[in-house]
Amino acid sequence: MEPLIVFDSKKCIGCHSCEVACQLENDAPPGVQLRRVQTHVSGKFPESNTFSISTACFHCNDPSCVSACPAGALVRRPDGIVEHVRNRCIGCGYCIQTCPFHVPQFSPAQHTMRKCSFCILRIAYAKQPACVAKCATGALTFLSDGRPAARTAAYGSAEGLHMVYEVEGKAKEYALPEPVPLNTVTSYQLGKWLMGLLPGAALLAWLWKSADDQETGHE
Amino acid sequence: MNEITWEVPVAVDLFFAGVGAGSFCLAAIAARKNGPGWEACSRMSSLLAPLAVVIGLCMLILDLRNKTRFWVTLRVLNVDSPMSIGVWLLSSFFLVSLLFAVCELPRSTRQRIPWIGTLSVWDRREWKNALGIIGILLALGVAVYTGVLLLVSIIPLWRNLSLPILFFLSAMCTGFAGGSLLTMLSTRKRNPDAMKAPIRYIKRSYRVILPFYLFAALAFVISLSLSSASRTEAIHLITGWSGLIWWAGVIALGIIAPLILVMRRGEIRFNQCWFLFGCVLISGFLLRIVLVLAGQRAL
Repeated sequence: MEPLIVFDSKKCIGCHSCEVACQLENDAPPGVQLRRVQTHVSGKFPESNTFSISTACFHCNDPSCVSACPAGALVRRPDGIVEHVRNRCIGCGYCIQTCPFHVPQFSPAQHTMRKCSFCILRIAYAKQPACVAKCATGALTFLSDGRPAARTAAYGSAEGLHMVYEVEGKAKEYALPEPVPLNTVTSYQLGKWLMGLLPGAALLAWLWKSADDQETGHE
Repeated sequence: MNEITWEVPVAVDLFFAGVGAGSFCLAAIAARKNGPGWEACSRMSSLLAPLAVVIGLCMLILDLRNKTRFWVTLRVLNVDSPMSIGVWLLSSFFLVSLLFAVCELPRSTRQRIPWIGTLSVWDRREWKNALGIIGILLALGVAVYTGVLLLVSIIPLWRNLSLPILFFLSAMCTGFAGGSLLTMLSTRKRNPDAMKAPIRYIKRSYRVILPFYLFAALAFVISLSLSSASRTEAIHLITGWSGLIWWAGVIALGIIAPLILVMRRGEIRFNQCWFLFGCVLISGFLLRIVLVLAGQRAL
């Protein structure tokens, strides 16, 4: 069972109910928004149009934050939810530096990272996530089993994420992922290490040898 | 969103990790040579290596606020995370550099260390050589890790392949400078001429390292400007306050001025050495500060 939240921009009126519900449910301190509603303007006056979009953690299938975390505080569960185990979080902020969607947020008061938990406790008790439950217009809907087959039937291609967006135009215009990005931490990581290790080793070998040359007078 | 997550303590940690790695390499190289200057150089550099790592780790622990949090990272090894790999590399390097420093201590001082001071293993040449080789490999990993840590992030200024080698070269320069400065301080009254041979070697090393360092720094800026994703970041880095630090502090003070000094014929005078090593150390620190802060638009 892979849960899924679907957002339809045509139904969203930008009332911020989801944001408030999320803050209350997760007891988020001021300044930390686990769900954010952003209002965009499309087109040019007089044919311009405003629309709102509600975003939170995408719960990627290959999450950069899980790869980056040095304390094992971020875990991808078998159902696809990326869980943040707060008592393991050391507050190093590395997940913030590596998430391509700027999702994790630092809570100065608790000195730990905070992110959307997909309301795992509510889901366990067969309830909807708080943001979905409090959405006034039905712009956010929850699917308890959003496996690829179910997603394709209802909402088209949405592989790799557990937050799906029904928007007009291209997802990029809404700062949404299109296509699903590579894991920024693991992609070509060995190559990145080798970019430093190989020339570094060559230079160290030269430094080692040149000390011997100085002794024998080969300057 | 421009959330500043990493502040000055992180830059200080990266700097001291580099100084530790570089000074250990100098210590391990100097330990193979004979002469009073080389002995002092090896001893002081080997003492600086674990000390620098501890200062860096203290800054990290200070930044995490909670003292116990750092130890959580030593209960987990996430091979995908450069930070996790780095923590393990730093911890192993600290241990090896500490053992190497104990080997380098004079016997009378070493014997005062409780429990382990009187062990015969410290006098065995092969034990010290093995520690030197293992330590150099770990130092290489530590110096490169400081660059890879930033490289895998989403921050456009840091997503540049020049960063690991740039940080490695800076680590070697600052480590050599730190080790030499400490040695000069320790020998200046008793035997100031002893340092002539190590300084001659460091001058030769800088003649090779500094041009590569300059090339890596310029390649970093040029490649940032050529990529459309990071062009604005490049402009931000090379203009304003960060530009002043980059051009005046990192390039002019830390690379060009020392390069002019080491490229000159003849031996470097003692007072010139203070200037040379001081410039290199200040510039290495400024490099970390400007990259960490300007990357997050905090400078």
